[in-house]
Amino acid sequence: MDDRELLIRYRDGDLPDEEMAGVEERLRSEPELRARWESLEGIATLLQQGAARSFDPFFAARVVARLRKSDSSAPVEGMYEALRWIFARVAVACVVVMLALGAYSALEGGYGGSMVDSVMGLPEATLETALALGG
Amino acid sequence: MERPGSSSDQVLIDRARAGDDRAFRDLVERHEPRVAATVVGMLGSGDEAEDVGQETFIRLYRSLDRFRGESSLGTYVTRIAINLSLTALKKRKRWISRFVSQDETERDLPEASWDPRGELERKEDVRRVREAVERLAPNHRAVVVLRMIDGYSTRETSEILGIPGGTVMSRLARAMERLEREMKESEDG
Repeated sequence: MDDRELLIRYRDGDLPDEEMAGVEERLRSEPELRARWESLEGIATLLQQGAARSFDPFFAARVVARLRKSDSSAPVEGMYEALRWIFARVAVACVVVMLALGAYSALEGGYGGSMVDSVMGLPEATLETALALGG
Repeated sequence: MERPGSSSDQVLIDRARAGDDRAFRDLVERHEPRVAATVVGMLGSGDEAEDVGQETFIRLYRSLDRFRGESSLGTYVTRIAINLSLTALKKRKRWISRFVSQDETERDLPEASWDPRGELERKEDVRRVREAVERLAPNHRAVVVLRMIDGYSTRETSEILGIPGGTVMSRLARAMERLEREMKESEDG
């Protein structure tokens, strides 16, 4: 334990009686230790004097207002989370259905000429069929 | 901090749990001085300290159901305040770490002592010591704030920070040494 730690313990009264007496004796006989003690006490006093003891006025009212504001926004956040949950699952289901239909169409292969037409389930498109559709 | 004739912390906690805003407001007013000393000691005064102070009590409110009274409410709320302050300092450090070397804040310093002066210079000294505290490394600053400003014992500080008592003492000794040195340097300079 160095002298500074010893002085802090002495200041706390956190030393056995004989060590307390030993420090007091040293403080009387050692000017350097005495100066260090006064320095420690001086800084401890300044720290106490400079300590904030409150925030700006009406702090408690601001805390309660913020608390109530966050409480009132909680149901909205809950609904947002629920919608996100539902949309994510609906999106996955749509993708699965589309893949299944695509696979079915590709395996059947009875519609269009190209692979894309088959996957999409599109009939073969020719100029004649387009004109026929147009009337 | 409890005023004579006022409700105990436990009574106010029970009422606050039941949704009584007035009771929670009383708790905030009762523990504001301790939280302000801790948060402003750690972060300096300003909007950031106000925000962390508010967040401290909001966290307290949300954890009232879990508060079992193993420690005093004062110690409990101080633990929240010091942890939020350390988190805020970490965020701040991300911005300044490129410009200030950690070695500079942690290096060994030669012995120094500082002579406190008379009343005329007191305010200036208070300002200088506050600035010196803000230059301490966060873990040293936390010990100084809890031990020297809030007045917690070494054992209580050890519980709040979750570190051994010997570490509290060694950090405090080093921090006080640095403060003495900075006070002396600024006086000489």
